Amino acid sequence: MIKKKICMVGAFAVGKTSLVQRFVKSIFSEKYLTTVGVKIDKKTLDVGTQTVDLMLWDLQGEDEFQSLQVSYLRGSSGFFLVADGTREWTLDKAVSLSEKVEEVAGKLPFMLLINKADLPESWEIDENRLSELTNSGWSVVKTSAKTGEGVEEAFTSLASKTLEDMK
Amino acid sequence: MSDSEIRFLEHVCLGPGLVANIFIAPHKDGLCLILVDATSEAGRIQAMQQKGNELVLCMERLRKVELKLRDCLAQKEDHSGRRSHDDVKSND
Repeated sequence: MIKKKICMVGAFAVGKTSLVQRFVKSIFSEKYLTTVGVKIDKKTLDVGTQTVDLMLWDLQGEDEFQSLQVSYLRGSSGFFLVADGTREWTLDKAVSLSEKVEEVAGKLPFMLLINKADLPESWEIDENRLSELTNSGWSVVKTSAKTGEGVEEAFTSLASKTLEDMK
Repeated sequence: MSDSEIRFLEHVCLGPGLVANIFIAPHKDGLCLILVDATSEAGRIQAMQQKGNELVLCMERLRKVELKLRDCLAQKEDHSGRRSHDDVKSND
């Protein structure tokens, strides 16, 4: 069985834990509960002809009090950068975190998830900015942990990228 | 990070309500794992962090409301300015 470690990285309250919960347990809660340290979940996924055990490391978000602990990143096969579409600064944070992760773990497959796609009326992130990131080679996906939009596709796609990376 | 170093993973959630600090050290041909219960420490940090983050989220929402209000006021002033200008014109 192939095992792949995937880290969830981003600012606080962007929905990292909710995305994992949606993907692993198909559940969603409106209640915000900040993560301390790291929570590890597992989900087995079929990618093409291969079966992969995804080990999902849900890292605490960066906030006023805590910054990303790089020791959690060791051995990662890929990572998700998560931003909140209704809070523009969380995209800046995601971009700066991508640099930090690359410094520590090297070049790894990653995807940028713009979460909370179910709240278009509060949307703050400019489409042009996302286009620029896409044009520079980033994979950008809009997700909603609440409705499930884009979630399964994002995890499957990153799992597939980590497998391609092995070849 | 070399393989001879002791690795430290802080506040790893092992299950519902169970958090440990994990030390991983090389030992003979394998690894030695030391788990130190950090449940109560993590609980205290969580409570503090939760309040702090909720406060920041509240401030962000307030800032958004304030911006909307300013927009509304500016529009209202613009509208009433235009109306008084029209009134003066019609009196002429």
